[in-house]
Amino acid sequence: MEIAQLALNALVLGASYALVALGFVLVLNATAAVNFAHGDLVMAGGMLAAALAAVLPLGESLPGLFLLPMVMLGMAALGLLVSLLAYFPLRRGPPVSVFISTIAVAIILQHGIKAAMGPAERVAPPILSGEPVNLFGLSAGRQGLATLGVAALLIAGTAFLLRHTQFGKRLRASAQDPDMARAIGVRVGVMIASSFALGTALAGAAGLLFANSYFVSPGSGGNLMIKAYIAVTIGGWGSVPGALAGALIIAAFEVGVAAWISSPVAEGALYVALLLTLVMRPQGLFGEATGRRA
Amino acid sequence: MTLLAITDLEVRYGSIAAVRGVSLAVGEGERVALLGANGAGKSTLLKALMGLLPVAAGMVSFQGRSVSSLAVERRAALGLGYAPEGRRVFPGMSVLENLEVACPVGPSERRRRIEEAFDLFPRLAERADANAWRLSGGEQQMLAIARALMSKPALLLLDEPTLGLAAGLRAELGAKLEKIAAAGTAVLLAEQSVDFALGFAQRAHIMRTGVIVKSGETTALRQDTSFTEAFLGR
Amino acid sequence: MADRTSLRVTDAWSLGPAVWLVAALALTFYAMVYADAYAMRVLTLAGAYAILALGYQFVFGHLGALSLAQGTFFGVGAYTVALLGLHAGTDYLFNVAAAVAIAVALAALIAVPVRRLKSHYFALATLGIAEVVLIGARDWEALTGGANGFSGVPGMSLFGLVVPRGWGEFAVVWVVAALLALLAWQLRRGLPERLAAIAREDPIAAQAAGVDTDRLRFVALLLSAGYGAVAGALAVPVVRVISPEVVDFRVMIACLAITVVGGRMRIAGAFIGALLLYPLPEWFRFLEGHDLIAYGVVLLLAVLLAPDGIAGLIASLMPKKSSGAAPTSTGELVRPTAVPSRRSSDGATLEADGISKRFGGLVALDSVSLRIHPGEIVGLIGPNGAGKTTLANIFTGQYRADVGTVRMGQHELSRWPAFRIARNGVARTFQTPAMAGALSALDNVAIPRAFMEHRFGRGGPEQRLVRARKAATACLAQAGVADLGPAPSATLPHGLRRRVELARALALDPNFIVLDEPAAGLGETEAAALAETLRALAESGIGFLVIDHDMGFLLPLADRLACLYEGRLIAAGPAAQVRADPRVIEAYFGNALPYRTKPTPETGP
Repeated sequence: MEIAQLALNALVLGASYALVALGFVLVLNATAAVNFAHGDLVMAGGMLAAALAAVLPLGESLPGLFLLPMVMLGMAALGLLVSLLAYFPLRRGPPVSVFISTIAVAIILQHGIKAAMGPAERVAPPILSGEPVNLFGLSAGRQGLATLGVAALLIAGTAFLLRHTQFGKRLRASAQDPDMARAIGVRVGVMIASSFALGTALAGAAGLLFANSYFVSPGSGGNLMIKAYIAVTIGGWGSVPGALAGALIIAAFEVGVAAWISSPVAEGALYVALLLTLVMRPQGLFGEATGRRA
Repeated sequence: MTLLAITDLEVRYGSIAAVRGVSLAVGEGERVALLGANGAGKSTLLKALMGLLPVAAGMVSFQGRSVSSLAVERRAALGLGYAPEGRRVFPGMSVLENLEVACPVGPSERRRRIEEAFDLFPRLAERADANAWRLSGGEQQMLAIARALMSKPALLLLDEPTLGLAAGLRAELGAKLEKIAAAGTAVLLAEQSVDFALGFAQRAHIMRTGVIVKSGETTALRQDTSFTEAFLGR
Repeated sequence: MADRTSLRVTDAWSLGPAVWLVAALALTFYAMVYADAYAMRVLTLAGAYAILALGYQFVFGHLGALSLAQGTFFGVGAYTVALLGLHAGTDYLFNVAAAVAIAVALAALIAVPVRRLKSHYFALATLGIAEVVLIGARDWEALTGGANGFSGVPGMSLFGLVVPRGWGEFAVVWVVAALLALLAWQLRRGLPERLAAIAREDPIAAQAAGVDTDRLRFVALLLSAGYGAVAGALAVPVVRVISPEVVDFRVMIACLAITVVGGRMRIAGAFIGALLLYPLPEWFRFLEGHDLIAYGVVLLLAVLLAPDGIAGLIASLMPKKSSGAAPTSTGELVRPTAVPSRRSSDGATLEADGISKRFGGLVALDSVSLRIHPGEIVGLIGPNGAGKTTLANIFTGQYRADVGTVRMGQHELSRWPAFRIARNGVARTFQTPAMAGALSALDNVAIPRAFMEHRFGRGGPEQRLVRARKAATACLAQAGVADLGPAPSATLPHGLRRRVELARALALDPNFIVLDEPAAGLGETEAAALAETLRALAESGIGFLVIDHDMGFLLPLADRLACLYEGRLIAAGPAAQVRADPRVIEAYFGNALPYRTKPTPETGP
């Protein structure tokens, strides 16, 4: 049962990571640029959730679920702002410029939030509170199950948006071939901005979930960003299912190796695994997604 | 009525003038061909018309208004359809999705237009759910054209549709184009295959190293013995 | 895509020695007279960060490779010095040397596996290393003292003499910084700087010209590690405390900000950036510990508004040195000089045998075999999409064939990387001339040659560059180009750039040259002149594979023609014969014309 328990824990953690990776890969596909600020955007979402809980009347006793739409909306707006500051002005330049500008945004986010809310860890109200539930003999915290549920719903919702709505199709077309998308009348600039908004909204949701289950502090962003980067690399650069798979693998690694040896070793082993992947199979599990055209 | 009027167009690729001093017009429902070997400038011209390349000099007007400064998506909305060289269908999207995304109308009208597309290209109906990258060259070509027609354009810009297609498929494609033109869509076709182009178009312009060297009705051009020279040089 | 922000390769010493001297005096004066102990310390550490940034410029500035491990090298240097000083009691200078050695070894260790990674993976790999080291520093308590680290790190000592706190440390750090700046200048100027420019602007073209860009990146990473370690080794005795903070990402961010804001291409940039940004938290004290926001804002503004940094801005405002006479050519070409017989050709042919290549579901080439003899000009024709460029790319190593081999004599080239093929007898040009726009035509030709001579030539980079420039002048003459002067090649007209590219290929002493659409964009006279040049070069023993569509250009020039259609070779043989071949005509024209071939002098009746 040990293994089953670990598997469940890994699944819950993986679900949150998957949300982070999904937002990351959406922006990556839309812009072919790595958004270094993504992890800090997740953190910002968590901090926003904590702040809202503190500020709203009855905030503390509301289930975290109520805060979710507000956080996602707020984060979407933030994502838009980031795209206007750090991406659009540098679109035509060398890709490394966007990398640097998003690093700058990450710094500003991290320290700005630290200034506004203090460096201490915060927590947001749990989505579901109560005693752990007994599931086939496994102890499953309600919060963990709720996290799994919310993440699964959001991922499914995003998948639905991308596959079955005109808007989602336009997003995908813009990512796959921006010039041809324009040639069929799609406003690619708007699509890119929307990808930022959507990706950041998902990041915010992930942040809220993290803030519920763990703590979130202004410094937690960097680590998450690296994990998203790793997930996308392991899964295959630009592949959405790859990113999700990569996220689950990372969670499995963390939970598994941590339980078997120790947490720091788990972290270190993750990076070593990453380096091995880069050397031996740089295209990742699912291969680099069918190429973009310029 | 003149649909498209180009005056003294010049398009540069870095330091190379790929198109120089080109003037031509396409009327409503007309079928015009651009002929020439590679490097002649045909594709560059079509890209510039669509707005995908900047224009160094000259003017382009469509349906009476100047479009030289309009963004690509605006030109598409005005009634220019484009099926590029190399097809460039959206690889990760299915045939059906490729068509849907190109349809700027409501769901019921969209369904109607897709039905029409499937009528015109039954092969696409068979492969409706396949991801576009899996399609054969010919199927991708049909998809690219069907996609360009989704917005019911007044003028269809077609860039080298027969590239890489076997003879049988070419004939089939030619027949489809006939139907499209018969329905009233004007077509500006850039082609290397003289055979195909002269069979379809009413008028043709021959391009070489960026300029138009010969123009005329296709019936006259067929009989012109200096044709190969114009095309390939000595 | 070319990095437009750093198109200028200017002399790193562009501010002039006088300005440096004045700045150094001003700094010293300020430090001695106005600074209190705390300010002195800040200035001292700023010097260490200047060294860090100097090192970073090798890999990030000159090669444009985003390494995220620079902070790690700093930390490794700091830890080595601190731990050795605390636990082994060894001499400070020895510790510094050890720090450099360990950091460089670490860099070599990580650089080897990531050698051939593309840029987004390279950044991630260096980030991964940084994280591993951070975790090690935090958690390997026995060695590093864990999260708390150690205090009481011994101070600097030079040959046994203790360096006084305050002004002593200030002097040591800044003298070292000055010396390292001089070293960097010496290492970079001339050949290496120009090599980096070529590698940075168009890595594919650079590799096709025989430049091993991956090796350049490797060397740059090692250099950056050495400098970074020195920076850390100098900083830690000033601070007297060692903790995982020195390998924290903060250091990397500071380094990145300093380099970007100061200017990543110029030595002055490292100093400007460090002096401006390192004390920044002091200036923003009023933000009460949230000074790092200022870092972020400044970095963002810099990358948006001044991508070349402050040093770049200053340089662009200064009066430009007169660049000498404008190019002497006005489009007139010179009769190519007689070409001395080239490599002792053992008569080796360049041969592709049974080449097949697919891209996904698309068959680009299907069992294509083609042979080129020395001194022969083979034209490759065929409709668009027939596979001509694919075949050329397989010959010169940009692509690898799925099936089939490429050989030259007894050497099998099939698995060689592009730069190796270029250096060993098969050079090429591209459809759009690709060269470092900021460098002169002469240098664009000379630099790859200088790089190639690395193994054979004696003497330092200076002499190699001089020799290479001589050879380049000769090659330019062979390519029919008069002296073009020092003007940047980006200003040359298209036709001349084509010739320069040809000269660059010649400079590699090739047996064969692959030309991809050399006549594109040329007028009739220019094209005819080019054909004449190629003819002369072929007569000297070089074999050519020429892809082109312009029959007027190719037909009189080529000895043989090969026609590709839908990935297959459908005709090959003497030029006139292929031109008249019905299959070729059909490939181009289909069945449109009521007549098949027009009788011409070449085809006969």
